[in-house]
Amino acid sequence: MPTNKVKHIAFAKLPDLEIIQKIKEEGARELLEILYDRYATKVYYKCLGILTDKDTAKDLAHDVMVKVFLNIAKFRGTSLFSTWVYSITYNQCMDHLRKKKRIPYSPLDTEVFQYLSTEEIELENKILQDLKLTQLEVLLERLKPDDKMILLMRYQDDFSTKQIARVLKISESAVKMRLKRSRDKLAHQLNEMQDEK
Amino acid sequence: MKNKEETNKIRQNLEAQFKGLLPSDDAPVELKEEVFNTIDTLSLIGDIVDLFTTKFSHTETAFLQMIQEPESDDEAFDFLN
Repeated sequence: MPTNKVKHIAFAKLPDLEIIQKIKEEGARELLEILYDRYATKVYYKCLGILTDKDTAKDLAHDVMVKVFLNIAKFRGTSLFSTWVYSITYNQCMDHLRKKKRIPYSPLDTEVFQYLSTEEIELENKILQDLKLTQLEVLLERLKPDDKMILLMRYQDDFSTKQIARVLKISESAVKMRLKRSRDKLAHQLNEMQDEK
Repeated sequence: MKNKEETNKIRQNLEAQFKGLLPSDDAPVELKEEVFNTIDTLSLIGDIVDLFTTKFSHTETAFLQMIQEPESDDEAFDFLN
């Protein structure tokens, strides 16, 4: 068996942090491959989920993985490696969307919330309580990329408000506002979906 | 109190559903090759830049030293070993 293959098998079960430490010490390519195998699929599907175009998702996943590997020496281990990788992923998607002008720099449309009554909010909360996985897959396709992204960051990857704020380059209070807006949109879409049946 | 409980319930349900969204397939196979080709190319470019900046200037200095002080030529090229 080739030495590289043996090394790959031997290190495959090590936690991320130990692999990164070894990469910093030895700079071995086969160790990068272990990290690639762990994260590339998730990164690709995150990009695909946000952008819905396979070629763009592939290009962005490529850029994310290259960026991760080129900057791996800078990873200090103060957060989970997965959080670091996904924050680079979301950042790359944000940059792409901004370049395509699908996410304008305009301030939040906060006035929308001023007209939402307490009853409406309660109703939307009730709707979200019964959300099912099969419905969520369809609903995410109907949401705008920036709404999808913030919901994925919070509920799939457990990003804190502070972490989301850093990725999106907005304030923490703006994150809370946007999260609420995206949740409301999700509830609204779910309500419409149930009405369609 | 009831509100807080409800909010927690909604959050837990949302987390459960979002975490259930798993990739249906692997990333495209060609992606791995493309990523590592880029890494190799960038690393090669880094080596070339290094050769023409750090190593070249060292060689140049060593060469000039050798011309100026021919007796110390062996020592001047020590860094190449």
